[in-house]
Amino acid sequence: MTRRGGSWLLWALWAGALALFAQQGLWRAVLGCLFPSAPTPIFERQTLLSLTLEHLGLTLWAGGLVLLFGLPIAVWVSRPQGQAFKPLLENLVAVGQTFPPPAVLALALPFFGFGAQGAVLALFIYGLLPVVRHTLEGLAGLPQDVLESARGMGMSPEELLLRVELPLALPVILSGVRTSFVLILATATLAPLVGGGGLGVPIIAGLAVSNLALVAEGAAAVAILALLLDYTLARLEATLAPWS
Amino acid sequence: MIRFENVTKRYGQAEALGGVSLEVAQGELCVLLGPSGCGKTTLLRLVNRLIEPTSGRIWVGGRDVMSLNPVELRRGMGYVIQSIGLFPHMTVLENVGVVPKLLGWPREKRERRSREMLALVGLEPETFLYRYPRELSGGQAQRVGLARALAADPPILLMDEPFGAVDPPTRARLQEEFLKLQAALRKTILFVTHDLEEAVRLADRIGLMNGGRIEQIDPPIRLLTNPQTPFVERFLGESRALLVLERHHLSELLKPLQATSRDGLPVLSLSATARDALSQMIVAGSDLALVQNQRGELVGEVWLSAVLALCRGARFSGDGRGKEARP
Repeated sequence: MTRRGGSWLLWALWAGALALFAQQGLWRAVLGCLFPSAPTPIFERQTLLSLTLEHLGLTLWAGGLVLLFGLPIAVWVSRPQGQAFKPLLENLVAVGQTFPPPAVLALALPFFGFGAQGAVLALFIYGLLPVVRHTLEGLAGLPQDVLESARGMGMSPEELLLRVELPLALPVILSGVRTSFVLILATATLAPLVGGGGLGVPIIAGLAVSNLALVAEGAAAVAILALLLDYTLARLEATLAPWS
Repeated sequence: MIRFENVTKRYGQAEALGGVSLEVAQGELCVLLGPSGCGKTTLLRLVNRLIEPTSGRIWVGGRDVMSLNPVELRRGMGYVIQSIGLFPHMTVLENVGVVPKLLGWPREKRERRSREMLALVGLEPETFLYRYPRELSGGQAQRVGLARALAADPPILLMDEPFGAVDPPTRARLQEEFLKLQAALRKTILFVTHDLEEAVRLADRIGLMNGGRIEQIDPPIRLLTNPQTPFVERFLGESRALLVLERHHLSELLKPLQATSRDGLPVLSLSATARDALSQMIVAGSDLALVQNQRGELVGEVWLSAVLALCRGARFSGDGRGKEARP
């Protein structure tokens, strides 16, 4: 089946990418060629692989929190009980995204101190909007006749939500998740500002000492991860919603 | 089986139903007919409590629906709507098995039932079980909708313009098969349509509605021949006599085969109606038609005079225009 083949390809791509990040020598040689004037062509204090894993860790933590809080809240305000809070939530998440991430990072500093927690929090706030908005849209845009026949057949509100509404809204929700995760992954490069680690470390270090090779190292790795993550979530969408 | 007692429904100032009383007997196919906005769908949706009455009572199987849990109530009756509302994310198998699953049937029983139901509505199970609704034609989707409504074997079916969205030939075939099914299953059916012909073809009784009230409720032939109000007369229209013919099958009019020359005579099947025969005779310009059985053997003949005698026997009242419409 093509779906099986697709997931096999996906694992191979991830393994390949991580193997590529483990090739310190290769990166040193290539970046050394591209930036001959750079004193050190790659970041020496930490391997690219460990920076990558840190970066993915930050992304998954923040993304996980987005799913954990964003999804249930969006579902709740789409129900009659929570309807009154819908405009409030929409505005809050919109403000969350317009707030510049470096400012959130700075504001989180006194509460969480120096380290990854502040970064995760800022990324979480920043990434809420796409998930919440897509979930609301997905649940609002369902075909009325399908809901009507589901009710007419005797589904309780819970059964309707779990068996019909969420599965049907899934493609839209997942496209929000995809946007959110890629956004978080890219923005996580700011985490080192509060001591969060990740692929932002060589970028920010490179900017500080005007070493473009370090900036390129971090940026290239983030770009590869972003493409891979986007593709992974697109595959997930196709697997979970085979009917569309 | 279903009884409405002086039921009204208001939306603010607007009156959707103004005191409807109606009883549908067990095994009866009762059609609610009328123009858009006459309240027929409202009346239907009161039965499974998708809406609730402003006043009056609705009884199902001797129990007041307002005293029942709406979810339980709905699981006990099949529901088919015009747009069908199949679940796009479920296969045909899962769609048909929705109510059995809600009722907690084990998996194998659900699957066996889905197969049976598909076969019953004329779909080859092996071909269709694993398709998604978007892979079905309109007629096939309609059959799946019916199979889904019948899956848990409910005694009552509520149908809201179930054949409204398919093309005329498919609709005619679905109606015919639906009648055969009903002859075997004997469900209590409340069926909403705005199509007079469909109502005449299917109904045991037709309730003709207008402005939130039932104008007249009668068996089709009686309704066609004895309209009680000007509205009913106008709604039936001036060709209502042809619809009377719709209710008579050729098997009733059959005479032994005597025609010597068969050239140019129309040939109809035994299941055709007197109306079909009349139409074919007009086309052929003859006053005689031949009738054949399913195997294609001629079994008799039908005379135009016999067809006309049906209408003569019907004794129409009124002139089909309604009193107010007269010049």
